[in-house]
Amino acid sequence: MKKQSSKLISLILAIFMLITAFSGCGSNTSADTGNTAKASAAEASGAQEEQEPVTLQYWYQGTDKATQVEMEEYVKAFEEKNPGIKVEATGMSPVISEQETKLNAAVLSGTYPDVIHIVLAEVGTRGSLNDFEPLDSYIEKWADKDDIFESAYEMGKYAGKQVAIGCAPNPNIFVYRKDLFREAGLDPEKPPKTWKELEAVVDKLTKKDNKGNVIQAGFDLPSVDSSLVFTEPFMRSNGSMIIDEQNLKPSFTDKGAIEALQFLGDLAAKKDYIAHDQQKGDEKPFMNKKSAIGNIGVNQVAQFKENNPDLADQLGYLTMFSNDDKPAVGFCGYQLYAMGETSGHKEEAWKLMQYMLSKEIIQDRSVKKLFPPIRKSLEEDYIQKDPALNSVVMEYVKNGKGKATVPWISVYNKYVSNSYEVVINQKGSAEKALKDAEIALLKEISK
Amino acid sequence: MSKKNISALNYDKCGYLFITPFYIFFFFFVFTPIAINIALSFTNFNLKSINFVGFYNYVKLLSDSLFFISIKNTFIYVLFTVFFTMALGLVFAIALTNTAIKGIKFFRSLYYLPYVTSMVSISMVWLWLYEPSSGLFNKIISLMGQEPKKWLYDSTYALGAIIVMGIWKGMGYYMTLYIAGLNNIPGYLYEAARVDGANGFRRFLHITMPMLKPVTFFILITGTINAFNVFEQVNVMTSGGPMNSTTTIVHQIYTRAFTEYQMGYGAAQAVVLLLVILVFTLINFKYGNQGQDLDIG
Repeated sequence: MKKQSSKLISLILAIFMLITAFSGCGSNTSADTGNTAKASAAEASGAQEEQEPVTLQYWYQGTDKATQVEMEEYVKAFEEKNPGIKVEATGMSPVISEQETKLNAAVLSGTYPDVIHIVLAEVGTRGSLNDFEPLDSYIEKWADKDDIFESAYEMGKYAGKQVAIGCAPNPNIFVYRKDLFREAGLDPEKPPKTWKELEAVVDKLTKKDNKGNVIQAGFDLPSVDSSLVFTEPFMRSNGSMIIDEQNLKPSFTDKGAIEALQFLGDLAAKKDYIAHDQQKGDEKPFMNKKSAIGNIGVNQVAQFKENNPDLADQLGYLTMFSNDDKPAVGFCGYQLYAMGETSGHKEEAWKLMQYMLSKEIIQDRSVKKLFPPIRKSLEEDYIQKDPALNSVVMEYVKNGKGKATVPWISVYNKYVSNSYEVVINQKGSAEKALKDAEIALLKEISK
Repeated sequence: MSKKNISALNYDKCGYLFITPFYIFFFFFVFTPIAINIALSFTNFNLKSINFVGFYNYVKLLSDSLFFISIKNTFIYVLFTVFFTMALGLVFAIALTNTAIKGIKFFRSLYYLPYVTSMVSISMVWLWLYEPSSGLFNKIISLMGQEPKKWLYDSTYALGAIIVMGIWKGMGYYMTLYIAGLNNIPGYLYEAARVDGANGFRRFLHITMPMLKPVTFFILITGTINAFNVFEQVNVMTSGGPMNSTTTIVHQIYTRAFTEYQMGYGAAQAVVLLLVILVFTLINFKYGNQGQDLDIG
């Protein structure tokens, strides 16, 4: 009797465990079935579908509290103006590799967002995968299309198709501390403009302790520049094309690129810098008041001023350093809006994109984040707000260049950033490092 | 069939029912992904299109210098991390089973804490410690009259810096397992050895070490597998640099598959990693668990 009852308990327990194991799947299945049934019902009744609120997935750049609050405000205002549309906004890490992981998972799981806030490099990488809906026909009908700068359209083109629209130029500008220039006996109103002048002031601005350790860097020279936003402007300002986007070919082993990289290597050899990673904004010595000249984004300028109000008026802004008489080309990245190719609510997604590109939002973002506007009607007003900074920023926007929009940009970044590390660490010449990178890159992209 | 046999069969069914949930999970979440991964390794899947390419990805691996660098780095990481984590785990376990020490429970918890903290959080903290201009480690070595180092930005030190963090993080877990093992060693073995005149070192060598062999074997297997999968700290702290000095097999898999969309090629690298771990585990099983059936009766 005892044996029989223990057997019965065992059996009941085993069945219970099985039911528990399956219950999770079961509930999901029923939920899915519910959704499918809902979708079918909605399809069957077109009129009813129009009345049902549509939910859009919107993924934006940034996970910090300030951006989150800002986006929530925009979304709330949009929902009030468009009662039939609900928006679920999700922040993405600003680190590109992490964004890529998220987007890949979205592609594989069929949960790609309806509207996505991307960076320039992704126009090529994800454009080549047909992630984005072409926007040409939408723009054609857009009343505000002529108020947008041509560059905002140009940056969003891949293989002749308009797959995204720029919403904010994102230049990395050179910034210097006037107070530190004065301390070093330099005229803060005559900052360096050329490579030679830069080289000359770096030594004077560097402070070392009695053991020779750098306690204040003259210039922020990154040890790691994985996205090459620091390195490329030097190469371009020395006449290199870096990547031939028309013919989809690398072009970074010319004299201009080699000389530029060697210049940075020679600068590093003087050991007047503090090691840091260009992609880690908070770690930059300039942001931590440990450097006299830094290379930072416009939103980081705002952050620096907020963190150090006493130094706000001590900041000076520089256009890209030129080499001899060659035209200087600074780095100007772009943030863009794209529509997911798989979106089931394209008209509503376009409404959201139009709203995010509206005058009021662009103006608000240029005030809060210092992003230069992409609307012609806002340019003058933007410059007037802070002529010293914003005129320099607009210079980067007009004459700068962002990442090339080619499908193999991540492979290029991998090999060329390795060349940068080789040269900065004095482990080889710029010529050999860049040629090795070109061989490795060609080997991969030719297959 | 006799009544006894039918009863045994029913009892067997019951057992199978009990283990079925585990195998269902194993089938869907372990076996199926492995099978899909192996299948993907014979394709050029790039998230949007897929074609069968035979052994192309495996042939490509043979000429991929970055993959060989990652194998070398991973082996160095495994060797140093597993050995030093085990050694230090044992030392701390012995120290913290000594009842003469006050606050044993506090210290045990303290050393175990890093293990239960997320690797990303730990990596962020160690990034500050390794910071070149104001990091704690450089402050300490400066006080000792040494020149500060660019820890994570110098290819000479970067991998070592990651190994040291790995040892620190895993040590508490191994210590806990060793403490459990030490507590299971019967006290009379030590008493008998004392009577026979064995000193502390001999008692450790001939009683403690052999009796801890099952624990050591378990730690060796799980530790090796974990160490081969090193990724998070590399991704957060160095992204594989400088000059690929810290890139590991999993980091390469991640880079190829998720930033370059070469899913098929990444899958082939994952298959190689699977085989490497399998070989190590089999070797460990063959040679590592000998003498576990110690007769202490």
